[in-house]
Amino acid sequence: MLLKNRKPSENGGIGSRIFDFCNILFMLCLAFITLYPMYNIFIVSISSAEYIYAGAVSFIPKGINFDAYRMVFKNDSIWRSFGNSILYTTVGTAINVVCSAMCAYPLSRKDFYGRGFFTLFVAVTMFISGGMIPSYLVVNQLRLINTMWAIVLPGAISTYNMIIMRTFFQNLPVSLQESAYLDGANDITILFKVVLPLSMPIIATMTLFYAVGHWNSYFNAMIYLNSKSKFPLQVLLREIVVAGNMADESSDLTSNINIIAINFKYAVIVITVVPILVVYPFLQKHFTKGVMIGAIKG
Amino acid sequence: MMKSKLKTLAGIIGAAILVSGCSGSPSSSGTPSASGAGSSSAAPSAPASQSESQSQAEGEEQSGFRADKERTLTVFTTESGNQPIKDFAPAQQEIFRKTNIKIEFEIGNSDKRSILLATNNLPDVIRIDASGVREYGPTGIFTNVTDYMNQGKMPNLKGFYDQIENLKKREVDGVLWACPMIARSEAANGFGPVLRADLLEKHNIATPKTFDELLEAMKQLKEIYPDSKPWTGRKGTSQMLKTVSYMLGSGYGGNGLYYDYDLKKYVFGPATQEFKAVLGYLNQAYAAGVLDPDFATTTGDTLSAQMSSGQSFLFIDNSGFGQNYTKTLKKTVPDGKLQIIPIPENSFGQRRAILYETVLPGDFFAVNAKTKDPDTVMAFMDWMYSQEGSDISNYGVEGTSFEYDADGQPHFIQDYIMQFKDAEPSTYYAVYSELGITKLNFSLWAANTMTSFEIEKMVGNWDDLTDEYWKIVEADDAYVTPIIDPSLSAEDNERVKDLTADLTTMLDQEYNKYIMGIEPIDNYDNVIAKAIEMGAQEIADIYNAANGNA
Amino acid sequence: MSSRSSVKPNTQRPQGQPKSLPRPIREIIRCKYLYLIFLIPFIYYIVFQYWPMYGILISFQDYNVVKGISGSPWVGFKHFEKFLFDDYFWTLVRNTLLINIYNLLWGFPAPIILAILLNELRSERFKKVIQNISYLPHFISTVVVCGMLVNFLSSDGLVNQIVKFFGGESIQFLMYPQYFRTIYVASGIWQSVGWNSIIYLAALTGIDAEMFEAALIDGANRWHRIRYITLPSIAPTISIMLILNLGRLMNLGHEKILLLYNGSTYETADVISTYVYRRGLLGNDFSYATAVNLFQAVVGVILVSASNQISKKVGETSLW
Repeated sequence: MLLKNRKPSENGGIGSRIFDFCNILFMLCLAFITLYPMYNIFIVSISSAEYIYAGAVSFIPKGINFDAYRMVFKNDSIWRSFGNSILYTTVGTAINVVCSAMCAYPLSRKDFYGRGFFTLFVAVTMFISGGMIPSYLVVNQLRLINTMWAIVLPGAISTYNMIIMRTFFQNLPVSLQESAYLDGANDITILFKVVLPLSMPIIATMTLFYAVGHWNSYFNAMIYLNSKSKFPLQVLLREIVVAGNMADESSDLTSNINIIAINFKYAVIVITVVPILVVYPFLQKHFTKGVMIGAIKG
Repeated sequence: MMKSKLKTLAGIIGAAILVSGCSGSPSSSGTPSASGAGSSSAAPSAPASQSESQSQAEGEEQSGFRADKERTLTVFTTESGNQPIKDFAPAQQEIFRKTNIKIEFEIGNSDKRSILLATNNLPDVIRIDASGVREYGPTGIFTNVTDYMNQGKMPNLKGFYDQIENLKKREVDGVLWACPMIARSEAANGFGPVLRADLLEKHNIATPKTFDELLEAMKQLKEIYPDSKPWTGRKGTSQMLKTVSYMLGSGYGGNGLYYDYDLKKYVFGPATQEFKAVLGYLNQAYAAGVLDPDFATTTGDTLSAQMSSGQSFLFIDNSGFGQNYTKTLKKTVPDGKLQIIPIPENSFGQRRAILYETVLPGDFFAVNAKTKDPDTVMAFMDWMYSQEGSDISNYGVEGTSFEYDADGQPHFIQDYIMQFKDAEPSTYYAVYSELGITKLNFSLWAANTMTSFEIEKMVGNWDDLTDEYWKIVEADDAYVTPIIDPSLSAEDNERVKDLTADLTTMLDQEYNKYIMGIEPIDNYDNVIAKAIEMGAQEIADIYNAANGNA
Repeated sequence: MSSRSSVKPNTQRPQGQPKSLPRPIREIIRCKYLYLIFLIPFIYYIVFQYWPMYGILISFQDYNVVKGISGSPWVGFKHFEKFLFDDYFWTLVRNTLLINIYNLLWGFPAPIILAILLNELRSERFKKVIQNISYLPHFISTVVVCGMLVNFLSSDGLVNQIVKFFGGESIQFLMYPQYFRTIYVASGIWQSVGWNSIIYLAALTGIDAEMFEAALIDGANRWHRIRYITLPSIAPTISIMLILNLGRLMNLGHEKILLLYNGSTYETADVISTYVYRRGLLGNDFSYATAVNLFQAVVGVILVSASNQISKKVGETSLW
């Protein structure tokens, strides 16, 4: 694609500077409003209950204490679930990324015989599904209930993510693949040796999407796992945070209100989010590095 | 049919003692009823013969039931965040030691329960509520408890069945499809107005005797504290209506239908003139700035926050919450005190309120119809109703967590309890969770409040406020014990569901308009007419017919 | 982009292949490695997606737990009729569509704009930090986010404090139907704008750096760079996302709405999924719920096919 020649270097022009200024200002505002909820959760988790309830903890923590965290750290089941979450996320994401790439690559190739049919075959599943009951029966028939596989296999490919990946593959220049063919490589080698290395941004994105998806998901774990010792963190979190607000009414004196302290709930949320915050920068490297597609040639 | 709370309690305790008497206390040798059951039925794994062989193995101890070989019993249950369930906790270990039955919990939420039921993929035992039993019982996926009872294989449950009239209402077409949880001497309370007694005192406002006085009192407080939201609630408008309607002379059960104890029949509350009085009262409170302007969007957290921070002075809901809130309130207002008042008189000159159902809490444990060796399982379930089974599943391990007093009654051991003195969210929940006991764990003759009282007293959390609270509730003759809704036939159930879905959708959109005064209260007559047109009366008729009071 | 085209058929196809084989078989043999790669995904779709689809049958049955799908009585379109001929049906459809359309109008462009603006930041470090922060709300569960919203929007909440500061009257935003869509859509953007921009940022990193440099040398200004390089290079991603979103116009999850609506706002807030949820509370009705899902699926397939057709004609991107 060619650019029409325009006025000489407007880069340092006044318009551009105003744009930069506004852009930075906008970003700062955005950062503020998106940071706030997490910040609020954090300061609540280290404040004491009477200030929280009085609505006094909006911007500055009051009555600072770390009791909530002490409680979290003492809680064995939280740690066990933490470990489970890491396991499911790692295994699940690995399966996801590999399977999605294997699905997306053939579908990205215009010369893949039956491409139209297979794309439709795959896309239909985004809209039509059998529902929970038959899915459970299938997982049960495969004897996966109460195993890690029940969590990582039924969602091995998210069609939505896979299509994004396919779109990315489609936009890769074909010249490299063609020359690989000429060198006698087959499609499998091309996928792993040529296409995937060029696709680090999308691989990183998918890894992030899938990993966060696994980390945040609770429904499949809740449905397919029976033993508490296998629960991931989110199932626990949901019990702790959500129970009081959405639980069905049971009619008795005490059990129908969640009396877990709000700072404890929020401390658990913080603990849940931290791992993602730690991992993200490592993936981010791949987004921003960019791929010098033109330069790799040869 | 006004029954005093005291009488109810006495009745329950009486029943409990009677039953425990017939099932034999654990220290006495043998359990006559159980062995009788064993001999009457020629089943190979009859519990009685097992219990005898077991007594030789164990030497000193004799249990009412023991499976001939070790068996794992999978039990599905939901879990409360307050009381997490632990795998193979001391109570389950003790049960295993005594009965050779190893309980293995499967934990899940209501979604999971629906899927297990819908796919007929049940564990051996599943915890379920009354509507679930009604819905799934007749499909035949559960073991028929009545059969076992009639064959004399469940003597302990039979004892309860003969004592508790209401259990018959838990039957669907004359069959008990699941083992009902029976409360073990539960304290009863209900919805009631809880207010800041300290503020009334401070500003010389007399304790309100009528709802009008209550409103006046709150108006006065609003004048003194203009930034306050004197009256708040939780879970929005429907919970508000659920809690106050009956006291104010109408009623609003789950979806509008309620049982009127004065009229002795089911009434669809929102389709009556009396309901106008309820909305009118709420409207007055709203207009005067007494009712929280955000009443329709309140949550459990709102109520906790506003009551325990002193922003609100009144709630009408489960009156037991007051004590929890007072604890936090005291940190900022040292003499703060949230206390219940006797039910005020409404505009129709009535004083009325409903207690929570405390004999049959509405929890059931259904046994999978496909379970292996159902005789053993049912015998075990029956053992859970025995004094011994109940003591273990509500007090834990004898000698470690509890001991028997001279009368053979179990009591917690102080030293054991004190380990959990500062535990969160409360000592008793921590103890329950650690031991694997009481109502929220797996128990069929289950304790909850009484055990918590005992623990609270031990650790010194039981204060005058709590004492006073229970005295006020006990002395108030406005409360009635609730009746249990009849089971409907499948067609009736379907019909009620269809009607209710449309009715509640229509009505939900109306209430707030009248409370907020967007529509004048007189226009509510149109809503009544519309509700009747949409089948409000039909729903009430179906229930009245099913209840036999046409 | 001119460089995009298909990989040329393998010219070094094994010679031993007889020409007499029918074309499909020849083609399959030619693509054998692609088929090999596709095998595992194919099995996945068959087992975990297509196999459970027999469950759709229960929407034509009165599902009975013990008899299962094979033995439950057939009732034809009873459940569809119950839903489609309900007086309330059109309100539900209207609300579902309107919320989704507003979401598409505002929520769809937001992450694209954010991605472009982020891309225009000069400082890499600043860009990274902002990006990091902007996706934070995505990790907070909806329950907590909605709890905060209810707080902010309450009669003495943050928003009303601002309104009052500027001399306005306090409004209970969540009690009036006219505010609901705005609240829902705006908070949705707040929750997801950062997260959703990731996909576009990834597409942007695929842009040939040489192109930017060439443009710089040519003296293209910012707007031109955005207009002629940035936008065209993420256009395929945008079209695909748009098509996928259009296919979901009839679907809207119930969780967030349940947490934000109340009787007063049903008029604009009650959607298909919340209605089905409320019915479900009265007693499980799997057949009914499945029928509603099937209705949504059919609408979704129609919408996605139509938009795909349009996209094919207008641009060169298509889903299949």
